[in-house]
Amino acid sequence: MRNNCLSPRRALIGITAVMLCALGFFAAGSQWSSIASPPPASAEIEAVALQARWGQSPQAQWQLRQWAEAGQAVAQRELATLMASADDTRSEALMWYVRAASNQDAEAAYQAGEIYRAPIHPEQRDWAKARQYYLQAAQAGHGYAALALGRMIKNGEGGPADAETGVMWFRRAAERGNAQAKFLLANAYASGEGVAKDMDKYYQLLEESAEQHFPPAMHELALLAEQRSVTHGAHAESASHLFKEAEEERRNRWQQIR
Amino acid sequence: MLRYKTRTRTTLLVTTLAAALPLLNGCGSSGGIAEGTTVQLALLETTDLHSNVLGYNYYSLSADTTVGMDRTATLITSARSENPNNVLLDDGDVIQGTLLGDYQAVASPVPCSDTLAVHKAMNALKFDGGGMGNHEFNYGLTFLSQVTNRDFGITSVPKPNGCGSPTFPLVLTNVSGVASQKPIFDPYKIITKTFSAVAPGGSTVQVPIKIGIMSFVPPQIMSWDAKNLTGLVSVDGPVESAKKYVPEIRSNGADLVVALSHGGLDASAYSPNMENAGLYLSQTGIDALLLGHAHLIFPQAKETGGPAIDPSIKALPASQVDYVNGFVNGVPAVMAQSWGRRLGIIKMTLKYQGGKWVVQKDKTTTEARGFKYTDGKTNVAADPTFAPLVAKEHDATIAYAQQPLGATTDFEMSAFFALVGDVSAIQIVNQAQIDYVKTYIAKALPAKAGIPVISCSAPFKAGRNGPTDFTDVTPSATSSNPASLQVRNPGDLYLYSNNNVQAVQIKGADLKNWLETSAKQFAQIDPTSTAEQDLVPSYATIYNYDVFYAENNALTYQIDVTQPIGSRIVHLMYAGAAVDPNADFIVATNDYRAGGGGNFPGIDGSKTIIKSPDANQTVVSNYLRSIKVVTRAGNDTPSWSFAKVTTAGPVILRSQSGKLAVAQALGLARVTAEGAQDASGYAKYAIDLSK
Repeated sequence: MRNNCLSPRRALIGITAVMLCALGFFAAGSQWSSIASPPPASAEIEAVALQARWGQSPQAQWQLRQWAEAGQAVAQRELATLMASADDTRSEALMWYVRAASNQDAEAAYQAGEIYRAPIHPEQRDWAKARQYYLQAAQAGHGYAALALGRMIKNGEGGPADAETGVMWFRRAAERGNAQAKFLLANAYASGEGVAKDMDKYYQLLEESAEQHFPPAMHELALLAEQRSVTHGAHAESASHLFKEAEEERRNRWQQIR
Repeated sequence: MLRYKTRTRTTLLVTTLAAALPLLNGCGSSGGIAEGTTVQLALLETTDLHSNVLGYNYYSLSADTTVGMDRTATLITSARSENPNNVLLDDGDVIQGTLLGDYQAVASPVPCSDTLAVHKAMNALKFDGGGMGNHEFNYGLTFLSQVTNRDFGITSVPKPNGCGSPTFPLVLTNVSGVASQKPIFDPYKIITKTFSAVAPGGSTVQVPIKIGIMSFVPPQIMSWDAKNLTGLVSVDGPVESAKKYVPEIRSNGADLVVALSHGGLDASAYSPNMENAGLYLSQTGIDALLLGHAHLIFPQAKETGGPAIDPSIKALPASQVDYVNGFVNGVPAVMAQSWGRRLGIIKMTLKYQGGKWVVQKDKTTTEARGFKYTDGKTNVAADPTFAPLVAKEHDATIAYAQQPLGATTDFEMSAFFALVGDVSAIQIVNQAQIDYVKTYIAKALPAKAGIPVISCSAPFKAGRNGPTDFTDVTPSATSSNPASLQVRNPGDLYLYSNNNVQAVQIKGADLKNWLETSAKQFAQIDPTSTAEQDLVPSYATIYNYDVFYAENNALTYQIDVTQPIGSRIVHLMYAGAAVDPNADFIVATNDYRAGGGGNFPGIDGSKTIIKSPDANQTVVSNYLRSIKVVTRAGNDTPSWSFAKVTTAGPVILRSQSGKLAVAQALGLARVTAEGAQDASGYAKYAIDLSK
């Protein structure tokens, strides 16, 4: 099922081939080397990472590793994501996420937190480290990290259960536009958990989350619309349209709940 | 990376030379077009049609006049008569979205010799060009290749040979074959149309206008359709792809460059991974931007009483997005909602100056025209020539919905008494979910194979929407006369077609909390009260009444309704022993519940161990097909009951009138009599909680 392009042997062959190509290219006079030209922008690294991952391009993989070894935080993070997608390189992924996180990459810190919170091998679980990395990323504005930290705190994982602080982190993530956090925050307002009950805020957050196609929010909004005409917010769509929309999105959004 | 930079330099050189050539001609006419000639034209957009060919709901088997290309056709006809110079383009998400789409792709795949119904409709409407959307990949590359009659250059995808397909050009700019490293569709196309222009003297001249089109899909297709695409195709960021081709399209003579962005507007910092890259595509040197994917209306609806602009669009920076007039960074843009409900119209005026057509920006207008555009109230009529085009496919889809599923049942599966211990309509769903999750774990999560798998599901249709809103499948089935289930029936057993299967891993303590939360649906019954007490005072959130089940009823529990919320679950047992708060369980459920729907303690996305692209409805359907025979004998012992209590006064359950016999057939002794109806038409059934 999985393509073996990331196995060490193939990587080595790939690297050798690319180095020969690269030598030829340098000879042609192109100013392509990462040493000579200005550091690549984040978007440029991500574009190469797309090629490395989906295009399975050995050149792109090699380039990504070059930038990562040279200390480029975004490249370190993208390389980690590449490593994480294959069984034989997954253990290296955490190492690269940690390096990128130490270089202030918020996404990498979040991913490190994810691995420490719920690793594939349960004995590697470390909730203290998970909270630490989530906090780093959340403080840098990472919505999902704030959500994940909020859940750990609310659920009492790695510390006493504290609904108020947990919901505070949901709000931080929601303010950053995170649809899933908006849904959990909406729940909190509806139940008065960790925050004073406020049904207006519940409806508003639910609508926003549904607009961003968060599946549980789309479902709940459709359920509510079935029972009453939804008068909150800028539009009132019929329940049948909301369910129809949710059904279409089902195929795409199946991984969207983190 | 290497090749990109080299190509850019080479392209720049070629473009400069090409651009210089016309200037060498000097000012004046070129190919006979007089300086100052003007042409007015309209770009028309449909997007996210999602196989809504006719306005029809294949689940309820009834017309839906709020959607459908049969009405879009009417909008197109009027827009064309208003704008004789027009170009009709589609922005993708065409082939998937209704039972018709699924029927033609999966249940009864359209053969090469035939054309997909939605493409037949688009061919009849004489589209000029089309792009792709993310949903085009839902049915796999082989199917897409066949229905577009396009050789993708991928070894494992057979080359189509003269298959029925759109008769207009299709493009896709940012998806390439991994092995070929070439775009799987034409990355762009230049469409030449002959339009009536006005020469400076006022006379009419026919002029060729070349419109270059590109199309971009969200890079997320690699995740959403990973199974279909990994290792076969790759995506590039939309902006990177646009920048690669815009100079080439111009140098090849395009007068206008139009981006078919199957993505909306997002003002976050650009990333090639961005789902909605429209804002940044507007800055790649294009003349018009067609948007889609987000199913929104842009610009703001113009009809009387039309909806206000969507808050997510309103929140975009005003310096970049003018949602009243329809401009994104100065480029005219439209998003025509979805399902054929709207037609995007970008009217432009071009003036021939210095040997080329120059867009007169102050004369550009945009509109997202809806079915009620004339007066805000009157729905346009459907085009009567439309339905006959796809009558065969439409009828076949209806017949399919009513076809036998390939399974029989010997008992009535209903939800009339689901809240007093009947599991006839729920247990089969739980069994299907357990079967699915156990299979998944065996294949993909072997480390978890030792953890017990249980399941929960709710009576979604149990009085929520009125006194006759109850699941009732095969009411006449008996053991001597089993009933055949139809393809639609899984939709009666599992109501929501938008839920995906998910599984969570929890502790026994979480299970108890989950059950306590479910048990909130009941009123607290005072056994000493002589007044009538309604066991379930509201059905508004009955979809949160999760009923749990384990194979062979290994999980059992009782609900003591005399206790306050939070203390009602008693005798919670698994495999003959009290459930250990620290024991592990895997619970099969749906994405709504697993993701936090219903606010069950700790069930907020953090416990999920399985996310599946398979709908719960499909899982039920497949399970029924695999077991073929459903018997009451296999389903008549409920996993739960009430803690027995004798009450001083009557306790009632509201349900549909005339169903006492159903309770009796189920052996539900606690349902003792049917009483009078209440003001809303529910019958009040007497419940004896001591039974």
